[in-house]
Amino acid sequence: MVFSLTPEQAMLQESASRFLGDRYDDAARRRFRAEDAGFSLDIWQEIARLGWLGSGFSEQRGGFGGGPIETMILMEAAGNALMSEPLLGSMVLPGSVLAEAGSYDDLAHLIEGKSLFAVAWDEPEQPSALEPATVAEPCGDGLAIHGEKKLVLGGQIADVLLVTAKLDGRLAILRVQSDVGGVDVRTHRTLDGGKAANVRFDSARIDRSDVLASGNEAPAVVSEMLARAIAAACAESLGAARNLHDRTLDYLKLRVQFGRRIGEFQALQHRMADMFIALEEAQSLSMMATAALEEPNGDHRDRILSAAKIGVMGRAMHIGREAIQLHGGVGMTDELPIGDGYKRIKSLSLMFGDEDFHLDRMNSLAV
Amino acid sequence: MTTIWTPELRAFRDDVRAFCEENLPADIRLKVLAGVPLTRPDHMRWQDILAGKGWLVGFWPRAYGGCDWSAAETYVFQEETTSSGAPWLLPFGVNYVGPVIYTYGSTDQKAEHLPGITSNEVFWCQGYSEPNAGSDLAGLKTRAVRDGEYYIVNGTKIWTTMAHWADWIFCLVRTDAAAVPQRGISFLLIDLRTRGVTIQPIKSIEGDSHLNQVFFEDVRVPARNLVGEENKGWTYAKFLLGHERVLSAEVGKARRYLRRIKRLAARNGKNNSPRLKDRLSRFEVDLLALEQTTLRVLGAILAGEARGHEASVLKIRGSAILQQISDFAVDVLGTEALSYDPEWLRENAGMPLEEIESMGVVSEALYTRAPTIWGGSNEIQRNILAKHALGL
Repeated sequence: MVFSLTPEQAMLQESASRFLGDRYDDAARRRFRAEDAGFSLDIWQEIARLGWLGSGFSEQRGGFGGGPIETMILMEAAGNALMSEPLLGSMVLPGSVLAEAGSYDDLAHLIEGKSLFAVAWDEPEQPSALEPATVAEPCGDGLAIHGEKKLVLGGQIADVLLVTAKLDGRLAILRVQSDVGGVDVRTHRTLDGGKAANVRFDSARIDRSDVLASGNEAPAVVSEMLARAIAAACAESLGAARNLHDRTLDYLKLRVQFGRRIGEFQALQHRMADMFIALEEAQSLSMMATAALEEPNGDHRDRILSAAKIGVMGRAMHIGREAIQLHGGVGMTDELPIGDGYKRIKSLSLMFGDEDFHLDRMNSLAV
Repeated sequence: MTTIWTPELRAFRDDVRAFCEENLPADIRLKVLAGVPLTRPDHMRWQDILAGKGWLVGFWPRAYGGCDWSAAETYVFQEETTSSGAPWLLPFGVNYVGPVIYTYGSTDQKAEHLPGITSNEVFWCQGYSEPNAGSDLAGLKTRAVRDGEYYIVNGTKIWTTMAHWADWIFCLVRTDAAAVPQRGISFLLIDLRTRGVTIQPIKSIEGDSHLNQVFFEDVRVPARNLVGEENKGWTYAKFLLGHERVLSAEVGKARRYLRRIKRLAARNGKNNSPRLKDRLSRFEVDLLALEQTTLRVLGAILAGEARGHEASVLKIRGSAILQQISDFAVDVLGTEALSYDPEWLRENAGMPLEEIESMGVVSEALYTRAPTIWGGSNEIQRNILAKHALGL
């Protein structure tokens, strides 16, 4: 089915898929994951040179004039290649925060690949991302941060952390060098084979000028970041689901049992047809989420994004489960990338609000 | 990304919406909203109104009385009319046989049959399935044997929707018993008043009789009623099935059903149930997926890039969701649903909505078991996807 892009967008899609086709295969991914960062810093520099990191930002903000659609294209391609480089954690999240908070010098560094950023926002015990338990207290001329953040994507390698905290009882976003005293970055492996970090702040000192956003602005910046994260996660999940769908279809055409290709069995044909339908619908919902980012922030947009998150993840998980089952025993092996795709989709389905979270949000915003 | 929503299309949508508000008779709308089965006069009255406006055959070419609507306009028209509570537009003349005649028919056939469809004067039905040829349609056995200027037709058709209300039937008949199944089939137009035709209604599970079995015993059909070439009927049938499925997603109808569930839940004090809210939100997710996919398919059709199998995706999902929603409405009624009497419902169809709605909901839910079967069952649609979309 069609999906119209501008010539520039088509070029980006073409270039991303060519680059990933050339440079990325199962063996490369394994090699990259074994590196200290959990991904390849060389690849990160290459995609910076290719212009990926600035493709989702307008020219006023130091980007290359693109927007959500460019991000969607890249996230889908990255998902399809089961890429281990943290586009979500080190591009989408901090890029959105820096752009919305007006930190264009930092954004330029992110886009050029000169510095790595990560957003430390998640505190699983807190009911809302807008109400962190982490606090910033006056300390001398500056501030001291106390608190703990979980699952900081890209935090294992970030030069700069963008931290949500309460300042004078209100949400603020703080810029913290990861190597200052009082910042304890603990790297851990993740379900999808990559890495992330838990970060403790124990009187970590910053200047007042490191407050990137506060007052009414900070909640808007965080909400926008989460909205962009949801759309990006949908696109990446769709890409991973397409990978599993295509590999499963290939396998049905190859594998012979009972003297014929198993794709000739109607029971399997119908399951494959349902995977195809799920993929088409996931594609539609991912595009809907991206289109919603152009709308003003508000209840309608939140509802659409929640619906997309529930719908894409549910369909991608279905494809993931079926991909393992239809591959049979080999689908369970670590050697095949089926499990990698499944685990990536599962991870994305739990991030930025799981199904329960988004059902609650849809219910509360019901029209 | 592009959108089908041009300013012109939005204006057209507003026109259709306003037209329905002004012209849809209140009693018909009430029946539709209540889920009460419609009578022939109900259908014909609404279709007369549309014919008067020139919208009954809107997607037809202007040369044959249509408005030359694009796929997008046709979609908007269906969604808006359905959403407003208008009756289902009977597809047999407008969507099925009409396009076959103006695409493959002779000049005489066009002149004889198209005006009756555009003016809503001739009621058509479709003679495809047979007792032993359902999904395996190519196995049909109704025979038409050439005898001078006539075909002599013998056999039977079944699941013939609304044949008991119809004037004419278009049939797939076997004209060459020796050819491989698909090759020996022809497309024949038959006047139901011809001697030898018997129509026997079949009562279906909701208690209404919209289905029929039609028997043909030595029925003499003028040979000029053969559409296109003899033994090429399968081509025309496939063309028709394509038309049939393009607009089968019915998002507007599903949304209307959801609105009713909310109303029923409020009436029964269930509207704050978290389980109910979860179900409604999940239905909304499924409907958005269906709607966005429909819009993508329309975009592909408009761009001339549709591959053909997209209609199967919409048919499978649209019918399944409609079924789930209409079934859930019965659950929301609870034991109120057990008080069900289709005869009472028919006799009291004019009563206020609250009086008849619960039975209407049950009637509709039972009837809605059919969409996953008709128009090529969903299993056949999955076969189509496996073959044409996936190459299995």
